[in-house]
Amino acid sequence: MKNNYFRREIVLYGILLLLVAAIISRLFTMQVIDAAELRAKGIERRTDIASLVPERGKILDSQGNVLAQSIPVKELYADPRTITKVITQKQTKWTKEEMAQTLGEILEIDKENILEKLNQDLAWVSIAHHVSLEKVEEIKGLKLPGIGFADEQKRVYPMGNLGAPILGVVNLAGHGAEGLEAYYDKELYGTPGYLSKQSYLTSSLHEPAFKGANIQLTLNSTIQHIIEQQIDQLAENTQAKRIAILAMEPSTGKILGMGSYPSFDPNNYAQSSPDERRNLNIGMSYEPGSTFKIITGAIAMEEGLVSPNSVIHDPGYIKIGPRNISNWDTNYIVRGDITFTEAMMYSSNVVMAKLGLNIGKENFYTYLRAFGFGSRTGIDLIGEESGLLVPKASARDVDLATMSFGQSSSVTPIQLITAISCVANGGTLYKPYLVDKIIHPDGTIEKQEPVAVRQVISESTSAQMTEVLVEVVNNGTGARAQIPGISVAGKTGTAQKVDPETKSYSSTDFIASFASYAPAEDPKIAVLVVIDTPRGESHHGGTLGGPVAKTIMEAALELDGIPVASNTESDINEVGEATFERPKPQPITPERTPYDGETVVPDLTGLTMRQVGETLAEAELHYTFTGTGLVYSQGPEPGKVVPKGSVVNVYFLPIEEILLLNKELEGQEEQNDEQKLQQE
Amino acid sequence: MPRRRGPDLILFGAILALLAIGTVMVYSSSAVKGYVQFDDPFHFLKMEVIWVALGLVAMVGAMAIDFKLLWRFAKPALILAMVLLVMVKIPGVGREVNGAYRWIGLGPLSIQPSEVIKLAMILVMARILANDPYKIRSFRKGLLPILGLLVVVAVLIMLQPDLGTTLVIAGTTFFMLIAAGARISHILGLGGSGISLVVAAIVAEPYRMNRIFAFLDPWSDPSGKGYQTIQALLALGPGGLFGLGLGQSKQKFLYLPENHTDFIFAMIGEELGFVGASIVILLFFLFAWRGFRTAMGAPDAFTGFLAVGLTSMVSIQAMVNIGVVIGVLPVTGITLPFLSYGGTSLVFTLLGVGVLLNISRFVK
Repeated sequence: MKNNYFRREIVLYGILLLLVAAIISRLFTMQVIDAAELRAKGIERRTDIASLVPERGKILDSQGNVLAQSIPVKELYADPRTITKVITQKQTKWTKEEMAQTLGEILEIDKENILEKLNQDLAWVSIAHHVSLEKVEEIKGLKLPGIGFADEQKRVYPMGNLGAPILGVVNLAGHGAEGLEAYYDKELYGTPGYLSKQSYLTSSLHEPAFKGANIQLTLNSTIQHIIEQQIDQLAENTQAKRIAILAMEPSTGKILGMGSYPSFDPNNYAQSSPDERRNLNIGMSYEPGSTFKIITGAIAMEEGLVSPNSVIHDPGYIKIGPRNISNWDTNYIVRGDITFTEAMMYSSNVVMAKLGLNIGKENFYTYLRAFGFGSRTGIDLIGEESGLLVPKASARDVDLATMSFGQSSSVTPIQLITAISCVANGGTLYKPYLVDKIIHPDGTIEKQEPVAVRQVISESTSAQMTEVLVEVVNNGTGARAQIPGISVAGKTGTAQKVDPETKSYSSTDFIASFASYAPAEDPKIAVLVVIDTPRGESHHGGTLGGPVAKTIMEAALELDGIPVASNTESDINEVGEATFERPKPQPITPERTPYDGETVVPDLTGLTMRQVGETLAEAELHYTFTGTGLVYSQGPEPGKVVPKGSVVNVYFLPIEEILLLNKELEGQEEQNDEQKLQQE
Repeated sequence: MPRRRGPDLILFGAILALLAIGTVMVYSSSAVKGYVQFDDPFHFLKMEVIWVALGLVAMVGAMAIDFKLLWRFAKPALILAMVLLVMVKIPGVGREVNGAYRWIGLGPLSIQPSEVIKLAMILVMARILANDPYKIRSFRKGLLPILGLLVVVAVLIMLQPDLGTTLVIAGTTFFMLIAAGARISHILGLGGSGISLVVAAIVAEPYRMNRIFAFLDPWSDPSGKGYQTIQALLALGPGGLFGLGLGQSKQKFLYLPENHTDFIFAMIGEELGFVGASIVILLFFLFAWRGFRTAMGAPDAFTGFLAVGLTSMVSIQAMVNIGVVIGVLPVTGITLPFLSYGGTSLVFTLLGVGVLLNISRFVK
């Protein structure tokens, strides 16, 4: 039935239909036509409104010592428009000048700069980064208008400069910019969270931030410390332009230490130049010189061209095309018939050139590539160079000959130590790596296993080549790397640098280098020392690099529990009639009872590096080592109560020196006693 | 009175479909909030199911009610609703939410008097119009008393304040007047003065002023007044033609407050896209069409006007709510019928719709 009360239903439909059409067309505009623009805005706002910065993961050394960690700080920002409004409405006693003055004093920055920012017509301006939480509290107490704080983190380095070029730097945005920080940024950074700042959603936090993973390095702080100490000494003594020292575990490719000079202070990295931050071990291409003969020799041996005792004629020079190639030490001195081992001991260029030519171009390049030359090793760092081989197509005989003794092609220290480790370990090329474990915040551990890239030479070639290199150290150019009681394999290198002006080899500028590994029969450590342009008495790789490599290897072997002869009892007895009794760790009286999370510093006097490591690990303390030998002094002193995880600085001296010092001390005491007697 | 038949199935179907979409979307958009606030992503879904069940009971009850009873209860219901509206302002009885007093707490329960007044107003209007259908053509005898009543009710509601409900009641009244055959000149005149009244009310109170400005240019204060509007736009935009997919909303991660209540349409637009949002709008239009058809076929004038009122109320409320979400109306704080998360609003809507379905059973 259609009743007569309703004459206007059509009007109602009309109105509704109009509204529906309007709504749908508006929706269509928003959802289809303007969708992309709104989508972009949405993403922008979701991240901008309130992102929670996750705590960046720590970088730990192989012993768990903290090398880099993040502490919470704040960014101080201002809303100049609000400040202007509040001041004009007389809702505050502050003026902009006073605010700038006060902030400048607290933050120790230029107040003019702050005032300039406060006078801008903006709703947001950053005043200062990395403001400590104490200062934040102080500033909050001042009730300044229009001032706010945003969460931020500051990267701190408890061990100071240690390993700075390896660790790299973190930029103000909290992301790694160089080194490991950059390579592992994804893992270290964590997952940011978001917080809605709407007041009616107080504390309704969604998407909490998940802190980043910690990464534990293969790097050992003790070895690293010694490397950097040696670098400092070398830099001082030789005035070298650049120095790179690299220590690797040959059987795995683990980097044990990596030092680069010049370096920088990571706590103050803004002051440093890119050159100082560059890690030379991966970023410097240089002509390796005679250290490369290890490679040429290994190839020739693998090809069956020589054995350690093969006799080769060395006429003192070899003429290839128009060019005469001579030995490094003497011009045209005829050595005559020498064994391959002797050729390595005297570092004969002529013999190497002969071998290179015998190996042949095709073969030589195949091996070089198999050893990893001419391409990046793939180490987990940013900024690796690939070195440069003479292009195969254009390589002539003379290039082949010079490449054989380490000229005309360039390598990086990491390439060379990787290849030498391959010679040392039985012939397997391992990919070098720095990160041993990624420790995720949920406790899962991602362990990085050694990556065997390929077998380059046979085990017997490896063993024979090692024999030859041990001879080089025992009786040849590498004598300064000898460690009593341990067989050390090594090879020196003293390469002339190409003068950029004359484009020929310089007679004054050299790159001195030394490559070695020990113990020869089961290598635990391989060390490469590269010194660019040393000045002074010697520019010879064996003279400069030998003792350095020795010190580093000794320390590493000692850490590994391999007794090094210079520290054994028999050796000590030779020093004098006074026998040295290694003190046992004394029971100590703590200054007070430690609370939870605190621990008592143990007495380390007289302990070896290895014992110190164990003792301190038990006490849950970290350490820095200085020197080698036995513990001479330490700080904090024994008995002090410190928070767990504190760093104990431990100073070592060789036993001989400790004994000497003790004697002097005794003498002084006797004198003192005498003086006292006389006074009485 | 003619014999009862089954209710209008298309009307019934549209209601159930909207309820179903609503329940799913309430869960999808409230899971995060539920998890954050109650440690239970299903918290709001569970509550929603209880509210829907309560609402369906109310609806089935209303489908069986005798219209004589409604005729008799119209005036007492209006008086009760007005008393409740005043009670909201009494400290200790009324509850403040977001700066407005709209709720009365009764132990664990809370009631929104605005919901009661909407139904009571429709009942009274239907009764007045049905009493003498031809009086409405006179301005003094027909329109003026109704207008007076509307002003009193509007003032009471604006005390809370509740602009959305005022709009819905005014719109419903106008729809009923149009249907009843009031003169077009009168309607236009009233419409004009009504709009100027609303504008006056808005200008008088900064709280509304702010909301108005926010709606005109939400980007001027994106993290304050314009926040909800912007977040709704930012939900709808990325939804695109087909949406991000059910459960894929990004904005529901606490960026869009009230996303499971007043702003559920934004969630629908984001997850189900333009197509999903349009389907919801068309379901409402289907509802309106069958509702007005019911009115036209109603057995008597009272039920006819009642049907017009109920249909208009639901449709206009839907339009206003969607208008807010798509940024063409200021944020008013009213729900989207059937779809927004439960509460008394859902129960009262279903109660009213039950009456409408009841009337549809008598349509030939």
